[in-house]
Amino acid sequence: MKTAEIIVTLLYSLIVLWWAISAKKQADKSGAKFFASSKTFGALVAGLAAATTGMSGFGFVGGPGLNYKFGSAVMYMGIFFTVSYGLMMWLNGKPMRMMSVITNIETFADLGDVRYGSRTLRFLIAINLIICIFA
Amino acid sequence: MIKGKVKDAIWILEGALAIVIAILFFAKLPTLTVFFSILLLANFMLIGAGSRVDKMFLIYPYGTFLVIFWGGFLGLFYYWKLYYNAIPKTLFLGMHPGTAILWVVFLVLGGFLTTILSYTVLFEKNVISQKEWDTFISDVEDFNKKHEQEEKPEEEIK
Repeated sequence: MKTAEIIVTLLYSLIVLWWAISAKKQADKSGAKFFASSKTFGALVAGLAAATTGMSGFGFVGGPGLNYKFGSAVMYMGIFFTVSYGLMMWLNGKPMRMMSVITNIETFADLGDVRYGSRTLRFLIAINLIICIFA
Repeated sequence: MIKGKVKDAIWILEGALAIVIAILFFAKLPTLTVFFSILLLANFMLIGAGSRVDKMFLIYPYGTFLVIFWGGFLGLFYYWKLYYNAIPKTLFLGMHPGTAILWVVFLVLGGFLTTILSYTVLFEKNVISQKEWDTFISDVEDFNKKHEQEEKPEEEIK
């Protein structure tokens, strides 16, 4: 790798790191502002956030890698982006929104904890998310 | 329309479908695997809409979703067999027919225009109306006020 590329990569990493640390400093200790900006997101921002989540580490970096390895058949994964987001809204949107008014939840794992009062369930949801990311 | 025992039954059906899909997948029956997978996905819409499911909902988005995805996959499998290991003779929108189905049928028709758009369009009718949401918020506020009033005497005793 050329020296210039290494410098650019390091600079980029440092900027992202600084950005994350400064954002965390401004956030509440509960993480309410950090995760969902104190629940002030509208539908448009929430939709864009969901799309960018899909197209970040997985879609933008992992996708081309899988395409290189397995060929264009990998493009069919795209079907499940739109379908899963739609189904996620139909299934989870309303209960998540209602529960967030009643209790202080920011993530899906929080919902499991609050709904069933189980820290174990919260842990299992987190593990499930990690498995899904690697899958 | 879908609540109580019916909803429980659909959840059990979803579990049974997941088992059936796994068996069909390992039995190397792709068409049947996809058929039941789409049914499994579509049923989540029913569960989500719950008691607000009406006849129109069964047509759009539920029925539309089933028809588009079943039809799309049947077309996909057809062109997959037809042009297996060969360059396709006919192109749709300048693409391989399978790729055209991916973009047009699955992503645009099935994904955006059915699953996602339906949520936005039918939100008031099949998810929750503004009136009901306002009632819910006022109920929560009333509950919190009562809860605070119940807690106050205990604090005063302390």
